[in-house]
Amino acid sequence: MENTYKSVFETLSKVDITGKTEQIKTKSGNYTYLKWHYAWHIFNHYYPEVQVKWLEPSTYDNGTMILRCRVEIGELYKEGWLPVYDNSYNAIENPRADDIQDNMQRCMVKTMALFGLGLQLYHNGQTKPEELNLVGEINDPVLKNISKSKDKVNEITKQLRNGGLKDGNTNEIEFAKIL
Amino acid sequence: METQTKLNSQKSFNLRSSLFKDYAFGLKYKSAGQFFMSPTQRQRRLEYDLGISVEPEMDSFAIPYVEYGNEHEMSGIAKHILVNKQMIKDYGDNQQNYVIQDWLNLKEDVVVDISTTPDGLSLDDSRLIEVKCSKMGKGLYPEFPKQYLPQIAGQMMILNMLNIPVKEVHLVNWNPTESKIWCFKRDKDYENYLINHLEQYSMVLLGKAELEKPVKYEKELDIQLIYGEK
Repeated sequence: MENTYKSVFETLSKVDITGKTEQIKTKSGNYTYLKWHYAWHIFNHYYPEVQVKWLEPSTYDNGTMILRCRVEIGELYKEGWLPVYDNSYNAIENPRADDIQDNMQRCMVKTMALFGLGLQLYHNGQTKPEELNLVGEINDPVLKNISKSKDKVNEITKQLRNGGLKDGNTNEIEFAKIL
Repeated sequence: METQTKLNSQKSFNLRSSLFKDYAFGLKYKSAGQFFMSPTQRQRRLEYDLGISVEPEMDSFAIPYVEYGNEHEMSGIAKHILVNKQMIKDYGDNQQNYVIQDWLNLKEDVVVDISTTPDGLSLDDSRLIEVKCSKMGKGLYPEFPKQYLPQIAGQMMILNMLNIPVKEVHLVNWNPTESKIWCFKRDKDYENYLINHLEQYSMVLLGKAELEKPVKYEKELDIQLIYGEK
């Protein structure tokens, strides 16, 4: 069967990458990566024709760089980019060859994620495949009731007062949909 | 920046608060949240505004960041409502655009306006809410992001000039798993400092002055992290 963007995404976004990641701790948070060799292994398992091509990087006045690559599966392709970062997510000025190599691997994995592999890491750091609520469903019963109310502002105020809406319990993305 | 011709054939430049950092100081990214005042950057901004050179389109790598911010601005508003347990107004489709026409009161053929469109306002008009969704949801600013100071101070300045008695801005740094909120109290010294630089830029736009090197602000500012971990 011929590969399509949809079929590739459906295959790769369902891969469980638990145990194939590493975590980097920085001042601004912890980031989980899919290790590049696992990404390559998984990709080759499903799509042995995969090719990675490197595009012209962008360099800036301050000596920092953005790497760009293209991952191809036959006719299908995705292009991704990544600054040459240090391990604290700061762009490196005048990066060395080893800095560039490390970030080429990260850039490749990130571009592979555009096909779906390990994309959930970028959502929330989880390694299990994630089904997103893309149709905008509201699951919280309190928010559902508010969305049906004729006087939303009054109902929100009431729920804020009595604890039906509460920081830590109420999902902000769902709440935003009814505002 | 927008340039528009008004009905009475008065031409105006419009300085938006989101770009006050560029007009006033030419702030340029250095590294890890550090910015510096670049005269070159300010000169470049001036050339775009005067139509001497064309502002380049946004770099393709930046577009997803902007789109992410636009998509989740309302989540930041929702967060603020949940944390403060109070509704706010003038958010989302009801955002208000505040403009001070001819802010230097020159009454000439070409004038400069200043404007702002805050993300939200408290019901009693005392507080503005500004949402920033950093790093496409993967991280928060470790410190207060000072590059937004000209914008939020400018927002307060404009609303107060319009007799809306805003006393503080809550800057909400939102991402899906954690958020921070900083409170910046109105600071008239800083406001005057900003006014001086904006005024200088406006006069240059009008051909009445030369661009001068911006001055560093040395005084302490009252900025408190009021929600989230340091």
